[in-house]
Amino acid sequence: MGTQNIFFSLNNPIIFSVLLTLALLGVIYIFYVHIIIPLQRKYLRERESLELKNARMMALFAELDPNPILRFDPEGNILLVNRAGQHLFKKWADNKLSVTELFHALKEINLKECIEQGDSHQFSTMIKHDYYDVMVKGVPEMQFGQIYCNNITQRKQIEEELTSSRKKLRELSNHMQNVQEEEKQKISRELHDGLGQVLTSIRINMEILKEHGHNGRAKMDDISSLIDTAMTEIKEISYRLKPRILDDFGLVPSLKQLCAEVSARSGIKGMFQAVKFSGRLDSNLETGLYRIAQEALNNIVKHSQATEFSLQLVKHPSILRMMVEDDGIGFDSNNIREDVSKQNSMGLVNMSERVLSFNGRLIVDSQKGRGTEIIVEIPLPENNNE
Amino acid sequence: MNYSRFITYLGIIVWLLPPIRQRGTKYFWFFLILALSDPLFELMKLVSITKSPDILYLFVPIACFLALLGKIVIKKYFYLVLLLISLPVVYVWKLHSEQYFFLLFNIALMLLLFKFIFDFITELQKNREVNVFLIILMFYIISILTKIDSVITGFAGNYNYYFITNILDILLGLFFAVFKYGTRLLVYDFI
Repeated sequence: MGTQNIFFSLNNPIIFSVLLTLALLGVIYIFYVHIIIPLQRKYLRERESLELKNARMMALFAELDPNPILRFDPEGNILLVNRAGQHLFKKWADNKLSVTELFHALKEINLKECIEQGDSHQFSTMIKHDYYDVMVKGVPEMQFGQIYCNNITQRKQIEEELTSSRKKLRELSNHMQNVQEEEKQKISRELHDGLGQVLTSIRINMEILKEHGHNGRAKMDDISSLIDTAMTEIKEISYRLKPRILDDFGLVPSLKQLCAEVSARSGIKGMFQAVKFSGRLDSNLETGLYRIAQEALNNIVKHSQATEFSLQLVKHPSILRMMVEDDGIGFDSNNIREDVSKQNSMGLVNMSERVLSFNGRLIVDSQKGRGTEIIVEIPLPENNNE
Repeated sequence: MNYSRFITYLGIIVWLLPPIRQRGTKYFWFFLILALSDPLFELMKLVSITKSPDILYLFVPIACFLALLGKIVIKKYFYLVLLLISLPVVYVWKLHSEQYFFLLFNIALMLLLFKFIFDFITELQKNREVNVFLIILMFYIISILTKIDSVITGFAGNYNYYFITNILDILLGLFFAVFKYGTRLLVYDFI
């Protein structure tokens, strides 16, 4: 009884501790239920409100973006298409199609995971004849994803043109090297077969002359004739390398001679005319125009099956125009007229590169069965205007 | 037989078990300090270093409190911690009276109690769970507080109360030696 009185008395610190602990737990409970939980609810409400504001801002930014933007849910359903994307994606949005039906590349991506993890994926695709860079980005806070489309058609075209130009440049470079090698080979053969043989004959005759001096006059005539032949060969080789007449007398006489030689060689009747042309031009320009004319006439001889051709040179106040015409079989130049850089023939490529180097213009006008006209226009500097 | 000495030594032995059980939990160091303080005090009395281990008893709750804070908090609030540790040093050097001893001791115990209350509310908030282990820990600190204060104030003038609370200490020691912090047996969902 005494022990019970001691134990169950309020003087017992244990009882006091138990009561105090219970009171403390009561205080904690009241504090938690009436202060912490309401604060938590307030925090959650504010967070939801902030998320809503955030979503509205994102929607507004999406609307204002000049590039097409799509918004989709974790199942892939389209939630929103911005104004810029209406003309591209309206049909799909109206038919409530999934983004995976719109972009096949998305079939390989787990959209739910993309949204939850906030991942981004990028790929290129074609939409209605235009190229687009597509970026898919998940927004985990909002539980949706957005697809941003960036039109790269122009960039693609420029890239393709660049690739094509590089290819043409390589082909032209190869062609030029081949042409140079052929020319060297030709010169080497002509020197060896032509000039070499003639000089050998001269030497033999000289030996005979030394031994049989009494028949000297006839032998001297032979030697003289062989020397003439050698000189002619040398002149022809030299002419083909670069005609002297071009350096000495200018473009008009050299073109006149060129036309005459081509006519004589090929049997095609040729005509040359120079209108309002006097004086000399820059030597590089004269050489360039000569080579263009040479290439054009070579093409006439090789491909045109023409019976006549004409070469006209007209000097306007600020432009020099050279026209080469023939009545041959022609070719379809519709595509070529629009863009000279697409031409396949290396000869034409060579011509166009030369013309472009003078800031000029090359026009090729040809139709099947109706001959060909090649017009070269080169702007002239002021001191050449006479 | 001197039952009070027997209970005291029994308590010392029982309180050596909780640190072994609580190994790996965040309260391990707390229980280890508690477990080693009494044997250390008895050893000091035995080798006659001191008759009255006030300074040791003052250090124990402060050391326990620092053990509960953890390294990161101690590093972050280093100067506050230094101030806390300096309290017993100041006491020994300048204050050295029973009043100041009990005042500082109560402050240290209150810090411990507040830490446990904080842990309890944090778990309640985070996991919506009531952890009975923490309630028992709070009860333990409150029992020490009331035990000491009842002696000071003469609230429990009978020495028997001190004896009974020592038995309570042993029972609580056994509880902490059996149940590990974090056991699902002592965790209940808060409605």
